[in-house]
Amino acid sequence: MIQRILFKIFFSLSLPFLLLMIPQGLSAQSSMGARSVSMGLTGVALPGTPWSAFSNSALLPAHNRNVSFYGFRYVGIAEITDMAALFTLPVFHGTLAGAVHKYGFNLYQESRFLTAYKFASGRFHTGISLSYYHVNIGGNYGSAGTLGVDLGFATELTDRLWFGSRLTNLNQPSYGSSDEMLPREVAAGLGYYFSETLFMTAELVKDVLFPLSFRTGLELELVPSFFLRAGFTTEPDTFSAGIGFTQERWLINIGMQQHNPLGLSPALDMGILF
Amino acid sequence: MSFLLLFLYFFQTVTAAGLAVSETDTLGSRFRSDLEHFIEMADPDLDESVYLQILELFEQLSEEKINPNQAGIHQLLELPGVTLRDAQNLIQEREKNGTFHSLSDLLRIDGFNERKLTLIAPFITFESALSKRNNPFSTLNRFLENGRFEAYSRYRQTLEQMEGYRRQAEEGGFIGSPVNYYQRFRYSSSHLSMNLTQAKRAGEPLPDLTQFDSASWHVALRNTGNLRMAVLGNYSVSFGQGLLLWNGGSFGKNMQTTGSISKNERGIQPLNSANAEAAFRGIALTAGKRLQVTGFYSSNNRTSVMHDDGSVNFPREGSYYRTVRERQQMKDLGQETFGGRVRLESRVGYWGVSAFLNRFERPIAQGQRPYHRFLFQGRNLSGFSTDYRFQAGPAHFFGEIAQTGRSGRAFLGGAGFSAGNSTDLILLYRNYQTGYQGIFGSSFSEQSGYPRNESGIYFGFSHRFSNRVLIRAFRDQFSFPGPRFQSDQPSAGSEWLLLTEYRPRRDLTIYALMRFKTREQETTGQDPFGREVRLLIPVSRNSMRIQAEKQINREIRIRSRIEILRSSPPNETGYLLFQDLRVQLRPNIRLDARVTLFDTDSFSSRVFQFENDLLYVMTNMMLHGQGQRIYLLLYASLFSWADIWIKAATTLYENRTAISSGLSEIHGNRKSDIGFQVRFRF
Repeated sequence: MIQRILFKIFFSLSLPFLLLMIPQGLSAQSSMGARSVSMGLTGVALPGTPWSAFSNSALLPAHNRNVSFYGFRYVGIAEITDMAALFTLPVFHGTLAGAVHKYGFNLYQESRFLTAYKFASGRFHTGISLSYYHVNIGGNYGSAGTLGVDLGFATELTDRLWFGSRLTNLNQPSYGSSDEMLPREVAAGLGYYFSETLFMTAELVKDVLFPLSFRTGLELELVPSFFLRAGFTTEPDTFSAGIGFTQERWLINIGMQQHNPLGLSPALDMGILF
Repeated sequence: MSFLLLFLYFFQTVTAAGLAVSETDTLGSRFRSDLEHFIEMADPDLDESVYLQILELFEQLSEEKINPNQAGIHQLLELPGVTLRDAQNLIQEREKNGTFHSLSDLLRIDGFNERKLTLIAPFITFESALSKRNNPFSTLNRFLENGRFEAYSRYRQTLEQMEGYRRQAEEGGFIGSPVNYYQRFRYSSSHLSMNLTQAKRAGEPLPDLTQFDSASWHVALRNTGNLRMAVLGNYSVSFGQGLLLWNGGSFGKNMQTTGSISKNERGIQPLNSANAEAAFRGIALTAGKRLQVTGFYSSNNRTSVMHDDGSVNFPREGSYYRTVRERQQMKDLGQETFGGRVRLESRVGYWGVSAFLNRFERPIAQGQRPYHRFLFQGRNLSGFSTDYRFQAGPAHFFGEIAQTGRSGRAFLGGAGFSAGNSTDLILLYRNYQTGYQGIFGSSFSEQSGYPRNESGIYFGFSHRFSNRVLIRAFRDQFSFPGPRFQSDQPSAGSEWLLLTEYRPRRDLTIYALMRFKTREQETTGQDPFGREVRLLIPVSRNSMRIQAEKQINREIRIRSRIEILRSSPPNETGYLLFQDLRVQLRPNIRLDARVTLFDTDSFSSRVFQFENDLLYVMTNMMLHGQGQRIYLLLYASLFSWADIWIKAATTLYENRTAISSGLSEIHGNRKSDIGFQVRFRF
């Protein structure tokens, strides 16, 4: 019994530090949506998903209004779960998106409130997003917040080939008065439709503090509106797979990521189109 | 580099001088049976036993040739390097524009170039197969249709004396002579195959012609009515994706990246090689058409080390019987195996169920190391599996799930896609539990030996930008969840391969190959308190190769290669350069020659090269240290019924006074081999 209490105390004290040690490449917080998870955390050149609001706002879908929800449980641990909700709205000349993202639990919690706007001129798409980040460390350690700006670009090089890039936290923010900098990333990638039913994307992501990561994913529309997906990342080495089902009014995606040695992480998202 | 240029220059000059320029030559003669091209696809760092199986596969494929005018998609996929899209394109072209009459006709097919033809040419025939009558036994003649008798005799020897021959047999030396001798007699027709292969390896005694240490034989009937195959004697079995039963040879990860990744089962095949221990011996039958049923029984003798308590180690493959001690253990372990398979074929694919029951005469002992805990022990083992393979639209799917004993499970699943006109993709996931004991299996895996203790994902990609430029790539990511050899804790690793091939002209091919591999290895280190701990460190081997191959004219082909290898830790570099020449002196005489220079810091930065050799001999030379190797290989077809091969090779080391160690040690810095083979065919 005493051991269990001691363990709990130790666990609750050390968890925030452990969490901070988890590399950015794993936490995947610039790539959301189960489709992205299934396809090796790609997103910078992955058109057709509202979750582009996080990964490359230039790729926000132009035509429909939608509301989506997303959850990702890192290696099955409830305390470290990503949850996000999102809406997109076609507005004058472009698309507007708003999103909320929450990660962590009562002892360590990150929240993000995001607005993004995307506009297209011909085959060139540009997006900008503004996020308010808030981190709260429980046990009276306090909280702090800051603003971050992301830019995204995307081009339809040909009818089949997309190029995309993003710059994360361009304004180099840090939390409150601390020197705790937010991750700064540059990412660029290509997306290619081999045929109407087969799509592949590959990208390079560099965080200032972490090694260059290569990510790639594949999507096959096996039968109309049913998708099979797979992908992998390097730095860290992970691989993933998933399925998706799309209807006129709603869609659902399920993904699973395998990280060695941490294990399996499930992801789920749902969207309603109107 | 100047070395290479010198050679290129030299050979160009010789050409200009006009070496025996023969008259007309068809495209076909350029693509002679070229084991080197075939075997070079494979990873050079594999176990020798894997190569022996690949060699056997090569033999089987070259003896049971496939007719592209009749073959179905599954049959075409058995050809090395042929992807699903290639097979589909071939069938499409055949349906659209009619039959193929020669190899050059195959160039009509989208995606087929001369390099691909080089690879598959030895396994293709355009002779139409026999007529299909319902009662093939009606006359003896029909049964013996296309009959042919072949006899091989092969002699090989290392000229320098090894330590084993200096010692007396009582002192642990080799009993026999340093001669390698192999002979084989075979009769085959469209429905019947009979074979006897016998071999004596260097150091093994041969008191008389009935006492060869390695031998295999078979009598087999095939494709007679509902009977697909019936074998009495030695045979190999390959089912499904190889998780449970596969000793028929296969490539793992290879330079083709998208070809030969999913397995194409060959079922029961009579064995041709003398390497009988690695396969089965007994009786096997396959019958049926769409619903095929296979059953086999095998009673084999294996070689293993016996302990005082009567238990034995798990039997090894490729044991030698050269010393008194080795001969005491020779084939001292009886092994009985029953197995079977049911396969249901449909228009799009097949589904199968396989099983085996195995019993060793003595119990297999458990070793002391942590990883031994999960290996097979005891006498009895059973296993079963189910597998599938089917096509859906632009994709084909394959997989197998298997269980051995009470608990160990393994799964493999994958999909290949042909995208657009010029892209192939393949994806393969495997998860073999640490306790899985598929002792007859050989499936896609990073580790050698039977599939176990591994999970990982493989992505293969190939894309043709134009007729001139092709890229191939794969990435494999793997982890070993349990302890393994030299590592008591879970470990992981990954591998990349990148190949760019450029063919500016039909007669010139240049490729650049890069391979990066990292695997965790356990070493002893110290923690901050000075205590000894076992740490995992990533160990990498990265290599880069550039090769150019030029067909100067119909008779002369030159090939140059430079390979650089970096290993770390220890941080070392290895180099290999070679210049290779093939001259078709006459339509019936061919000469292969090669000069290789190698310079590596030590064994860690060792380099490999495949060599052409006597037909059905596999040479994968591992070279380390500093030195030079030269070989000459002559092939001549003396008469329509007689062919000969002669090979002479020598390796000179610069910085050594002895080569190899133990009983194989050679005093001096040179090792030379000669070989001679003759084949009669009637």
